[in-house]
Amino acid sequence: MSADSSINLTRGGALLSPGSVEDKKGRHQATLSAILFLSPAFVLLILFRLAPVIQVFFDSFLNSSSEWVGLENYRFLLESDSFLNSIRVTLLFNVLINPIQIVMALGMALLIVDGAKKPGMWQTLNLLPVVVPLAISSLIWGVAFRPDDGIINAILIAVGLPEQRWLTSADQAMMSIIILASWVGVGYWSLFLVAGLHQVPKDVMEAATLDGARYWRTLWYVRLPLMRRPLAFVLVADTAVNLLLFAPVQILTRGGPVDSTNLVMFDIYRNAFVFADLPLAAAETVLLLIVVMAIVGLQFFMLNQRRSGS
Amino acid sequence: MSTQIPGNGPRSWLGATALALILCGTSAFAEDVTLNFMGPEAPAAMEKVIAAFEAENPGIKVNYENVPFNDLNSIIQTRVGAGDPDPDVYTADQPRIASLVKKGQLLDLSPWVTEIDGVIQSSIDASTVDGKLYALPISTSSQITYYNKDLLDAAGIAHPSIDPSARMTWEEMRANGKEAMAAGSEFGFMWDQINRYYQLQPLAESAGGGSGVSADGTAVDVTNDGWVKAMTFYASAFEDGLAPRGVQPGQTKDVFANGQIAYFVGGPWWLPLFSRTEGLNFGIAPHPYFEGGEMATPTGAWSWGVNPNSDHVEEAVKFIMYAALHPVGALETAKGFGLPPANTTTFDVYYTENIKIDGVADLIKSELANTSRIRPRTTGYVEFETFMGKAFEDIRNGADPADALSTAEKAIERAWSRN
Repeated sequence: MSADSSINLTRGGALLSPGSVEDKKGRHQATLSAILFLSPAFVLLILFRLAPVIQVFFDSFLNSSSEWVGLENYRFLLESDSFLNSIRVTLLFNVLINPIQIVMALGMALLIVDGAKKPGMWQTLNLLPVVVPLAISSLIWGVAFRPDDGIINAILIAVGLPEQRWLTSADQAMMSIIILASWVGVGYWSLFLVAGLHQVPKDVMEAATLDGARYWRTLWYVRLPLMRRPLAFVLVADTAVNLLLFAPVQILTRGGPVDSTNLVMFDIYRNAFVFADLPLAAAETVLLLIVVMAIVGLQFFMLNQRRSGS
Repeated sequence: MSTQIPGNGPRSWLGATALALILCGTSAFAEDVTLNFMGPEAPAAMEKVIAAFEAENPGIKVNYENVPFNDLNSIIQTRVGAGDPDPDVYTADQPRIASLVKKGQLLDLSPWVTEIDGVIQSSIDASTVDGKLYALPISTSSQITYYNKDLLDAAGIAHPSIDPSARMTWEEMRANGKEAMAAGSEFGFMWDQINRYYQLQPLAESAGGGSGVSADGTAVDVTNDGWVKAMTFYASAFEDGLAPRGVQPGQTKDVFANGQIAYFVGGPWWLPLFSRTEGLNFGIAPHPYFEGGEMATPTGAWSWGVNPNSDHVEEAVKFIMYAALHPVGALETAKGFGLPPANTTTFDVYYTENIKIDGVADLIKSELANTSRIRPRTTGYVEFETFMGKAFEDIRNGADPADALSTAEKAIERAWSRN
């Protein structure tokens, strides 16, 4: 891999003046301009991503009067049933929502690419929910989910199904949040998968068809393996987004009923901005960060495993 | 211009005038102060008092920023707490003043406001911490019962009296609500701020459970018999389908305005809305109480305070004094706000001139004097209110009242242990 890129780089530099002292100079210049081009992004990344993380890390060892208290905030959190519950709720939420969203996004992308007569129109319709800010779609869904006079129960009754409690039931609230988050998420993630499907080379597909492979076999053995990159991106990015999901909980359930939707992100928000307990929120953020990095790291590891295996 | 002899001829006169105008313009510009004012009310509610203040104080402009009620305190926390000079003035929920003061987010007004006459004492108390005034009381509040005359008539239920000594009990309201539903009403009765402590404190007080916080503000007790009794009643309203689940505060008034419910226990600030709602035939009565229990009603509202980091402290104090204490200013504030003014002189003028519904002013005055219970004054109010709100929502959705209260009590104690 690294040998590949160094060859490319040499070739890039060699385009101007091959095999001389100026070759070295050109390579040097290419590196320099790369650094220059990347530096604004790096500076922003350090300023707005890395620096706050470092600050949060330090804050998590202080108390609200900025005195050093060591691991006290972590001890308080790990002894707190409510925090442990919010970690459990967040993990369960992600185990459910990510596969659902990715499978549905893939299905949607296949429908648009393979099935739709007017793909452009369907693509637009599919993207419409993404255009609505999550806060606003949360409000709309909140009204639709109302158990006594909401439109969803009205539809269920009209087709002869029993009405449901939705957001007001500890057993259904998380599922309701998954439904509304997926309404937005599926359209968004399918965008990347549509692009991925279009990038599968036509000749490979034709070769598979000539070999007698039907649609599903082509999909499973040819197209999906060739879509590993967009799929990996969607998996990792979707997981990260859902581990940090916040708006619907803040607007609709505030963590309830009976803490069934108390996602860690909401718990952090409440500690920081409602209770003004910034050190506790900082410690919670560090723990969440560790969980996110562990999960995303595991995903990368497994994707690489599969690659070297195949 | 430069070739002309100065002071000679009309052109130079014009030039001098233009120069003077420019100078005037810049100096007026330099004196102009813009105050940023933040609160949860719709901008229209603040227009009147801001216009009146600006007319009286040329050179000071007030720019109002409307934020959602649920986010107000976190926005204060993020902005004022971080040392931002904006907003200069903000609305402070009275029970949160103790905690805002503790965090250094309200300016001590005692050097500026030496005399404060004609303001309801409980509102001044609610704005005072350790003997110092930190905010000026703007409004007070109470709650009344609205009833839908058509729905009661259809069920053959007598209209309740407006006399505070003949008020309904919660038990009666529940029984009547069931009858009204049998006769066609969609729901029986419900509360305005359906899952908030402000609205539900009087239920526990009336059932003998107290406010839930000890008098010194350091201990919490929401698991006593009174609280459990009150919350069991509250739970039954939703369990029996008398009151709807899932409806958020702010959406509840529409249920009454649409004629879907027989009784609505809510704020007097809905009077103008209900009065102009076509086809809604309603009457008003006092807030209910539990049979054999004490009569208790909610109270407390807004005070306006100044951000200690403000760059325009003097102008900011001038503005809140105008809005709270000036006879014209206080009335303009009340007109826009719709809450009963904390200023007693304004209170009478406001109700005689603006709310032309018989008996409402006397009823509110009587409640404020005799039955109102202020919310606990404790630096831990935010945690208390948050976890109680959670418990109410859980109970409303079917959690066991005693369990939910016990969970809340433990959570509050744990959060307070961090202070």
